[in-house]
Amino acid sequence: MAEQQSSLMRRTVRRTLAASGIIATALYTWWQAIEGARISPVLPETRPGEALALGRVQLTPLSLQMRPVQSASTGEKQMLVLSAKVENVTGETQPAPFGYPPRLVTVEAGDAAFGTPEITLLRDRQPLRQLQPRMPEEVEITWHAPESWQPEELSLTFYRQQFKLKDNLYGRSNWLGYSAVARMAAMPEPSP
Amino acid sequence: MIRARHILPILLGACILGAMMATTPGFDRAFRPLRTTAPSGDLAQGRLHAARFAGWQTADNIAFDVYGAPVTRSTQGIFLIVDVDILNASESIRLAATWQGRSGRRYVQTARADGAPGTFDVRQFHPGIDDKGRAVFELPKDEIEGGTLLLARKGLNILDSELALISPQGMPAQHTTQLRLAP
Repeated sequence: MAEQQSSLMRRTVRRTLAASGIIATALYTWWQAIEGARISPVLPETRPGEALALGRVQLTPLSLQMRPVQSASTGEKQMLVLSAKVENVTGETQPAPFGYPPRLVTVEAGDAAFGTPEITLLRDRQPLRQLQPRMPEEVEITWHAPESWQPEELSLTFYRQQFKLKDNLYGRSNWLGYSAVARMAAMPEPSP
Repeated sequence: MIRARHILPILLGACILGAMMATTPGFDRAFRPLRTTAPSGDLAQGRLHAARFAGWQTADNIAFDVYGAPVTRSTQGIFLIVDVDILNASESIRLAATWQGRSGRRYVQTARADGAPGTFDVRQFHPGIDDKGRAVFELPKDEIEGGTLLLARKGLNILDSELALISPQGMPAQHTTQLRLAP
């Protein structure tokens, strides 16, 4: 009887230890994920002329400029223009602006809100609608600046989209999820 | 012995499950279009229509009219213009064209030629009327030779036919600096 009780105790202790180990691992992993999301990562700085791998495209920022808005009807006075070179590095034609929701590059300038940019093909000043593989293009990425905003040093954040060979729903290959990869602090050049 | 009797079915089940997972085709493979391939000049018959590679040419620039306004387009690479005979349509359909280059890369018909006369983006094909369609691609020059034209119903193409029309040998004989696309 005493031997049976001792065996039961040993088994209970062993199983409790194993279960607590598994629970501790799960809790630690979960907390690491929370910590990772809570602390914003320090992004590497980039400069004009440096190529950035952003998933579907390789983007090289060239210059940042302020330009007057052509049409006065919008109520905005100026636009911020990032000149860049983009190359589709995938195996198929990509629709611009490279995924939905579009998130290639964002502007942070104090409290000023810059919306979704327009991408113009520099070659014939038409909106960029597609990017063909192995054909780098020079483009202008344009944001309409808020009316009250005065040019100041701002920060551009570039995002990389992740390619997943098998997504979680159907197991099909897809471009999913963006993550910030680089930051560029720059003072926009005045309009020529 | 008793322990082995318990573990064996679990191991066997894990092995069978692993084998099933390893051999199950992925979504992209299981739901890809059903391809029919035809050599240059031959007719490829699909579920809703048939098609034949009719001709091709290249150009540095293309020009066309959209609603009466002249439009000129240039390219970083080269324009490839492919003419196709569309036959035996069994219902009214719109088609989408893709050029699969020698490297395997896929070039969708360029949106910069949208509205050009005869291109697939503006054409619809009807039963009983044998017709022609045209596709304009922007691509690097080395993707032309040995490429294949892929024709499929416009929109999501899952488990429907896709016609693969193999291009003639070599490069297109005709190259124009500025090609005017006319109906």
